[in-house]
Amino acid sequence: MTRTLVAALAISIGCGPGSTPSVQGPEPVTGHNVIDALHKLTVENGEVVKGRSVYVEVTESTGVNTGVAVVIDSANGYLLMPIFMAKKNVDKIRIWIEGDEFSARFLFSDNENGLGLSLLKVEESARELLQALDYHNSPFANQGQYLFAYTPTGAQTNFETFAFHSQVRGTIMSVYDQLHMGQTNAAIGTPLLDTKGAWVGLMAGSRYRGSVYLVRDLEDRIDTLIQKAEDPDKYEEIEKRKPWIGIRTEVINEDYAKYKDLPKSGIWVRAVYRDSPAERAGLKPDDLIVAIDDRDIKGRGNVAWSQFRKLMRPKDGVKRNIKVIRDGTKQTLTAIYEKRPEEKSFKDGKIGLTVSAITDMAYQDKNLETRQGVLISDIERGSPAATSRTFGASLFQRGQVIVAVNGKPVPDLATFKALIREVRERNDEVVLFKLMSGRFTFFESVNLSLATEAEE
Amino acid sequence: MSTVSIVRSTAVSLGLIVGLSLPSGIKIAEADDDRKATSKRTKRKSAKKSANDRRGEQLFREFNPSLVEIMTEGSGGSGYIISKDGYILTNGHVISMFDREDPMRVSKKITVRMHDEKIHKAREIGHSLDPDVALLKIDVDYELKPVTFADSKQVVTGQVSWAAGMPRGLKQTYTKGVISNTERTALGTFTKVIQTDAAINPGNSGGPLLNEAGQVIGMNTYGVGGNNLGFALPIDVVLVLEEHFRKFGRFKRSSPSFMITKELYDDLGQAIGIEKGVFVEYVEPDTDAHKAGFRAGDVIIAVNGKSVHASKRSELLDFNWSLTTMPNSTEVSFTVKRPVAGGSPQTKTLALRLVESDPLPRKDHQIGEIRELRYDHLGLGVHELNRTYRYQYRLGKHAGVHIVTSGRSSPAQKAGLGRGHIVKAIQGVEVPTQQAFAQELDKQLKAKAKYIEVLYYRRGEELETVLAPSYPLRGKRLALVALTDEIEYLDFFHRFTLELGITPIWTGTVKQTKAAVYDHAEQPFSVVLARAPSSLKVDEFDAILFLGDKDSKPYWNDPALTRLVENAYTSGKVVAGVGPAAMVLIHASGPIKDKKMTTTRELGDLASQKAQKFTGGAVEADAKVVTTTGIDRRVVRRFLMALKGEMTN
Repeated sequence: MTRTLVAALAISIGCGPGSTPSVQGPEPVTGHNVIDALHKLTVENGEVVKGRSVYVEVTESTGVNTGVAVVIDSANGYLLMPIFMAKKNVDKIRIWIEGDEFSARFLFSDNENGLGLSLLKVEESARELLQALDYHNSPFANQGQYLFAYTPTGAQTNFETFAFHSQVRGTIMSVYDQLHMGQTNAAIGTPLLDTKGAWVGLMAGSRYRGSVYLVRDLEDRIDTLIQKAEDPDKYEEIEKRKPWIGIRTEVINEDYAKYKDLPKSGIWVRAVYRDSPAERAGLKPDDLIVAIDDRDIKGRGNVAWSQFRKLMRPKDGVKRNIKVIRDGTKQTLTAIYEKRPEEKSFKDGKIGLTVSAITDMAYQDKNLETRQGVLISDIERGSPAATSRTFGASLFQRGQVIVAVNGKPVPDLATFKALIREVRERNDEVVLFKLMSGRFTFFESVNLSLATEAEE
Repeated sequence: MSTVSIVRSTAVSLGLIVGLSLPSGIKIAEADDDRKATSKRTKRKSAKKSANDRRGEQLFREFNPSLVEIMTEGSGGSGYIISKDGYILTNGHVISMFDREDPMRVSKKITVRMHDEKIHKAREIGHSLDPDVALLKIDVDYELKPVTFADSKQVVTGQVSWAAGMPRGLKQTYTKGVISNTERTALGTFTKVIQTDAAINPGNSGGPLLNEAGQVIGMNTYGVGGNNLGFALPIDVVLVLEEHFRKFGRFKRSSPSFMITKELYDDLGQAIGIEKGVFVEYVEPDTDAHKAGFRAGDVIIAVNGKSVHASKRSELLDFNWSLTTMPNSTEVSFTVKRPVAGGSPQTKTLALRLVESDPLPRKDHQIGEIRELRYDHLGLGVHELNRTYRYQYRLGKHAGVHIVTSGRSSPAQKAGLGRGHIVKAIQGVEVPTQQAFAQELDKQLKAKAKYIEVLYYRRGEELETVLAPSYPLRGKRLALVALTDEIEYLDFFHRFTLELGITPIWTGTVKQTKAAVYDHAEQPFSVVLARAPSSLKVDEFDAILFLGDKDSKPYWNDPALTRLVENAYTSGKVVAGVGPAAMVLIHASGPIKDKKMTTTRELGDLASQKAQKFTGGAVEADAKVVTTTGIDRRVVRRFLMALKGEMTN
């Protein structure tokens, strides 16, 4: 691409504020220049995406889906699609590279904040045809900027490559911002490049027709997705120990903000959990968060909430400067994301109960009235614990706290385990539990002779 | 869990809310049917009858004079005569208004139709919704035939049973079946109920369940989905309530405050090493029961020296019922066994004075007895809290009022106030009762506060927010003309003006008026009527609203008032009337005569003579003329919405 053309485009499409077509550029700007420049860029960018995006057809038990996947790692043959697939539903995946058919397999899919991402792996023989688009350090696209999209060929498509370019109409603010491009026919997953040929976005699905997810918002998620896919054992660990700073937050009420003359996009800290990075950073309940890393939270209600979540972007080891208003004064506190503590739980297969230790988070969020006990997190179907005395109501419910076993207090998980072990060793037929729900206590007795052989 | 709630909700929706009572709209033309039936019967007379046939016929002949049909302005049901001088038993819900906001509210107009089609006005002597019983009285100058009762404790599963009543408006319907179970507890009722497969349908409510001898063994009350699943309150329970109604005008439940008992089921008994008794599940700290020495985990083995035991839910309900029906303030001696770790249980005798129970909250099958105070335009309705309420809804100890209504897109919802939250303070003033809540909120609304501070608890957290009322009719002036001192729904009209920012001009024909709806009405709702309505000038107001019940009759044709209506209407003001007070509008002449109007159903004949376009509809809004029958809260609410609409235009 020649410098002249870039200059002409920069002028005509207003890359910066205050750029006036008549005073800049070596050539006088005419309508022809602009059209020519766009044409050439479309062709040149088309070359960039060749072999870097493929047409995909996924046969699922629920039906056939088609779209585009972007090559993000050519050596490993990794493809990225902005949809969620359930592994058990995926029967077959066919892909087309420049019109030639190959196969791919499903690797991993996750769904966070309403955006599904799937990772596919292309068969070995096709990998040499592939080149990757770099998802790191992807640029932002401002309003008015032109983006170029290319939908590659597939078996069902009646075109070679479908190309279009369009201006960014505006940004729809959410946890993942979406660029609105107006009416487009580009297939889901189609990559969008900017005038410099850098990968900016991915075409969103039909629900958000004409909108584009920003690759920069997805960078961390793509990294995690690859990690999860490459090491399935690590997946559970990652899921269980997602990075946190240990706060519960809520958007400020708009009327209340007006009444108290507080920022209308503020985010209340409702709870700060014990021994969390937030506690160490000095965050306190009733702090009002107004900016993260010097970027103000904007919007109202849900928008402010999603802005906040986006700015926080949890990642292990990442430092966030959190500006809060406390008692009318602003201060900035620094919290470092870390893996959340492992949740300790215990399952007794014979009784059919899974219980977990009462963490400060559980205590605060579930509004428990005691820290001395264990929290029922699961009841196995058909187990003695699921027995019902009154029609349909099982002995135990999730969220109840066991505070005593056979009259002995249960201050923590270790004591609970020890007491249950005693019961099993003595071969007791019945066990008496004292429970708490809210601030009220009650008793239930479980008959262990109801357990089936398999449970033992 | 889900299964039982389905069963229960079905019980509620079918048995209570839709009711076994009947919407009054359904009426069957039966005169012809009767004749046909009679002729058939005559023809068959010669046919040979079995003993069963004869018993059925005799039961019908002997019982039928005691069976009655009960009609209210909203619904109806069945009932039966229990004394020569006109006491009648039926279900509480048959005579209630099905008003969720004020569940204990009783129909104003109850009529009883006898087996011979004679109609009598009835008055309520007492009623309860749980157990669901009402006692009515009609005044007659002749002797009635009362029913005879059987001992419902002697009823056994499998015996023949008859149900009598007016299912779906079909008068004097007799159905036959057997007793399917005598100790049904799965509906979650206050007492155990008798199950029968004799067909019971909506309209059977309050009617008798009979044994083969035609004696009353129960009161048909609930139905659930499925086939031939009917439930009747045991007559022994009904008769306890009847006695309370005669003595106190209501059911005075006694309870050991505050402890919760539970059946000592086998596994539980085995686990604590005490096999017989009634298990004490929970004792609230700092209550009489706690002070008397009761602790959770105790087992009551005897009451006043008589041993007690409950290993089944039905036995537990019987045990609780025995305490419930003792007189208030009875001192009861409980013998209690307390498990001792590693030793034999300790036995104690504890004395506890019973107190009257808290009003019951709505829960499962229970209609509840707690009134809601609701601000429609703020979208905020609250209940007062008591111990039973807190226990059933697992609420904390916080003082305040419990939010039960948070309207969609209402100021309450925008403020983040939702169902289940507890309002602690309004503008810094604590509001532990509905009255305090209303008083403080009204004060703020009256001052047209842009923001009203609300301190509330949400799942244990204390939070602050603001309500931002919109006052959509700010600056509009509404003249309210009270034509009697007892105005139903006065609180509605009062809050209507406050919430919408209307400037009220209260006038009336009596010195002072008070609302009949809320106990705490006296203070917040008392309106001193310093002005006579005749002193109102048309340019003083944008709308005029006439309120009043039957006592307003002398004013219907008052020339000063009809002239006021005529002038107001021709000057483009909104004119409105509620119930009998709408008759003032109906009596006015001039262009207003073209408008559709309505008033109380009883005044229908008179109104249709006077008004050109009398409709009899619940609410009529016809270009600046708004009228209503004012029959219940729902209708008055619709009326106020219509009035708001007209005042906005």
